[in-house]
Amino acid sequence: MGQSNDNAGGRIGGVSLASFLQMLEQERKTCTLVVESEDRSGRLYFNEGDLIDAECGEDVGQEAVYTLLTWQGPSFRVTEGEDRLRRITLPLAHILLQAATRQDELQAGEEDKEQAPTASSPLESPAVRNNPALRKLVETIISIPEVRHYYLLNRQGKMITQSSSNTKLPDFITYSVVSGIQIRKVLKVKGPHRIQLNLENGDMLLVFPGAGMIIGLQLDGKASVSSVTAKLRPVLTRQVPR
Amino acid sequence: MIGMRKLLQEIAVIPGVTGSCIFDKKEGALCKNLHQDLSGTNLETVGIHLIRLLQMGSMVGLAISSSHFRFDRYTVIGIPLDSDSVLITICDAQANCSLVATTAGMLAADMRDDMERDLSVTTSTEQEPESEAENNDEKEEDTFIQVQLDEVEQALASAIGPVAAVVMQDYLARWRQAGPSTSARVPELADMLLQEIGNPELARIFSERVRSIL
Repeated sequence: MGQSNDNAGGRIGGVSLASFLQMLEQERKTCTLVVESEDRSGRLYFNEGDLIDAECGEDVGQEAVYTLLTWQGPSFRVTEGEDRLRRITLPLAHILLQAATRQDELQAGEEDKEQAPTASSPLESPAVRNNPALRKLVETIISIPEVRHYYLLNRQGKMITQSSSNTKLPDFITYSVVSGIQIRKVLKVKGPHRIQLNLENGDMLLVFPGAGMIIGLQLDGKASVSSVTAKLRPVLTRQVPR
Repeated sequence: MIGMRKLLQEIAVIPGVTGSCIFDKKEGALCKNLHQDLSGTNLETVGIHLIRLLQMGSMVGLAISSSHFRFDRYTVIGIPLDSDSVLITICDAQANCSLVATTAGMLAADMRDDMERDLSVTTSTEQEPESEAENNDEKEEDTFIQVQLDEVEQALASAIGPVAAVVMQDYLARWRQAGPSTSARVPELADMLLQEIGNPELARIFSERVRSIL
């Protein structure tokens, strides 16, 4: 892939990254846009024309978009869409405007202020909004780049909040915990503290059966279990009301 | 069997492995290699739950290559060999479970190839009588009994949740082996399914629903 190869992407007919993002929005595309510049790369995730997530190095969400938009002369290509957690809630036009403002203010040495998330932010769901501990947990989960989706269930397996529209996975997560409890009885041990299900496509489902709730995380193939667990540990030890 | 024992012996030398077993849904524990601390462990229960979990995963679109259950003293790793059998490996809590799973997975893949080769030899000689038996079952199982079985499954799902579909498949296979698939034998199936319902109240409700179906 290179900038001169129209089939792979890149500056097609002189289109900038920002313009190409707007084109994907207008065309209501569901795809992943892989952006590369020198030895760096990032991804932007579209679902039916909505920019829902992005990743660039350690950054995810809007911050990743802002970083990618600062790259000079990147090459890019369109690949298959992915089922992703929606980290980005601002409309694309706002993000592009914000990115341009940040560029200007960065040059002027001033700090930028983020706009408040829209009502469709995962942090604005009714279950999360009025529960500080739950809000903190969701914030922490969203900040982990490898998380594709999260499922928070009470100990009876009833959904508290989830980022995906998949209605079958919560039951499966609950059953994995039930299986763990049955295995615990046989082995006469304590737990399970964690259940890890590796998938044939390289992704992973990680389940934490806690005292107050069950946390299920769909992680991409780059995830490190120990790293994800370490990031969650401070919030997992808090008592989250049922 | 020799291949299975060899697999378990190779897994046993991986640091941290306390025991391993190959479990088949129909045949039970085919082969075991356990340290004395685990010698009395009922691996049937572990195996059944791991296989059901893998099957349920398949039903919700998850192709699971390995499952790891981390407890305080052990980590239990389940690696599917085929749709009805699983390699169970039990490690110390401090073991490098990723290494164990990767190594066991590699060895299991070799085993799977050997099993498929063996299966292709045995099923080619058994296939005709089995398919003839299945055709007879299909003729016997008319629409009415299928409706009854669907309703029994729904009643079971009310008692034990979404795993009912997987459990029902298991017990239907055994029920069909024991006799013809007729409405008169559905109570017998219901009695078998009652074993899966631990809660007495849910078991009572299930029995009442089945009575109303029949």
